[in-house]
Amino acid sequence: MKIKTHDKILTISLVSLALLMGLGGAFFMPFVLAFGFLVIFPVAVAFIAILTFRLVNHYIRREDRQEQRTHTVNFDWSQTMDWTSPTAVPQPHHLIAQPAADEIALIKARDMEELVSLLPSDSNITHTFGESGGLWRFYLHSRSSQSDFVAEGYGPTPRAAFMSARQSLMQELKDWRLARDEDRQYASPLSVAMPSSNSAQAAVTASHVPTALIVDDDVDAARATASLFEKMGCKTLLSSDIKDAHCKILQEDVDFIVLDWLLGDKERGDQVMSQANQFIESFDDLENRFSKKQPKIITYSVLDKSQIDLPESKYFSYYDHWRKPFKYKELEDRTSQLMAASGY
Amino acid sequence: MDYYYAAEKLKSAGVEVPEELWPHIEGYISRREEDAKQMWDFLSREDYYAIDRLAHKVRGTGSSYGFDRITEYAGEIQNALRENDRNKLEDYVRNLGDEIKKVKSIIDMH
Repeated sequence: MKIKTHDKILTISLVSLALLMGLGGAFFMPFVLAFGFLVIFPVAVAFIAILTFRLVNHYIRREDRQEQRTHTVNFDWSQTMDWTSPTAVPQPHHLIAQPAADEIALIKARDMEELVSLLPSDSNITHTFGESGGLWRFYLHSRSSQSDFVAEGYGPTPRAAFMSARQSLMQELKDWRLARDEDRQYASPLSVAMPSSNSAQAAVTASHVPTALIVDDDVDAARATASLFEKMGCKTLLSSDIKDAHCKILQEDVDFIVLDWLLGDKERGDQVMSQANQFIESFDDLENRFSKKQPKIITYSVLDKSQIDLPESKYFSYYDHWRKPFKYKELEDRTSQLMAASGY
Repeated sequence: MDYYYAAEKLKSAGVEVPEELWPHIEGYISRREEDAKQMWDFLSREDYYAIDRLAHKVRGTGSSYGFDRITEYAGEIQNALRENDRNKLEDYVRNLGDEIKKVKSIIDMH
């Protein structure tokens, strides 16, 4: 095949170009590498550093803003708030303290989900957080085709109240499963404490074990009194301070409260009652429950009855004052009379 | 500790502890022993308010546990404080301590 002149020229041109490019590449490569190392690499490093700095700065500022808000939001809340309802977004006039709101949000996001997963799948659940006089309340009602659970907890923080209610609910679930396995009816202790026409609940009420709460800062006095109520077939609870006594009065279905008039150097029996009254008045369901069934109060002290001034209450009935010191037998007779007068 | 024999021995010494409280007697007496020691300490510091608080507590529980003399001495300590009688106060703090020691020695034998 005969090669044409212009093809030769083209071939020579291409070869020359390739040689030139090869030579040029070899000549310029160090410059390209140097350019990359000296310009592109530092620019990329600077870009990453700036991006990292901006991100870190963003999070630090966000934390600062949250902390600032914690210190500036005023707390003025004297009513319950239903956190399950979308309309219950806190409004400025009853914003709750930011740390408590954060705590509640965290409980809702993490712990509630876990708790709900333990309940029957078709459960309709309502729950509320509430606060009055520095004491928090968490209330949960879960209703399904097979179960009806009511659990509530009290404590100095939303988490403490939630954990207390959670513990009650876990016990209820355990009892409910046991009743289901044994083919028995089950009724939540708190729903039993409330008025009901349900025959199963009425049956449970009939076999109700009375509960006595002994409020005394002296462990020996509390033990002696508790042993008597236990002898009479009561379940007993002990409290040595006002806050704990409040939680137990509200959370447990208490029938008798044996109240030492002097609790330590600062607390007195009337404070237990006045603060409990105030708390109950803050919640409609508690008001309803305690109006229907008033625990009997027995004050006891070395003081004379004339020195005892218990505040009037719609939610508690004052039974008697037992003056210390008393012999065990004397206390036994009085406890026995109390039980008989209460229908046990 | 054998609660039954301790209770029998206490009974012969005139102290009748309710059966329900037998398991708590050892702890009860240990705490009262501590109270008696504290009373001497308060007495040396002339802290009469603290003595009164302690005597009030001891007086409130002694009889319930069957220890009438403990309640009685604690009551006398409070009376001595009201009467501002230092000698009487010391006497009853001593009596209270001796009574507690006596009871403790009976319990410790079992």
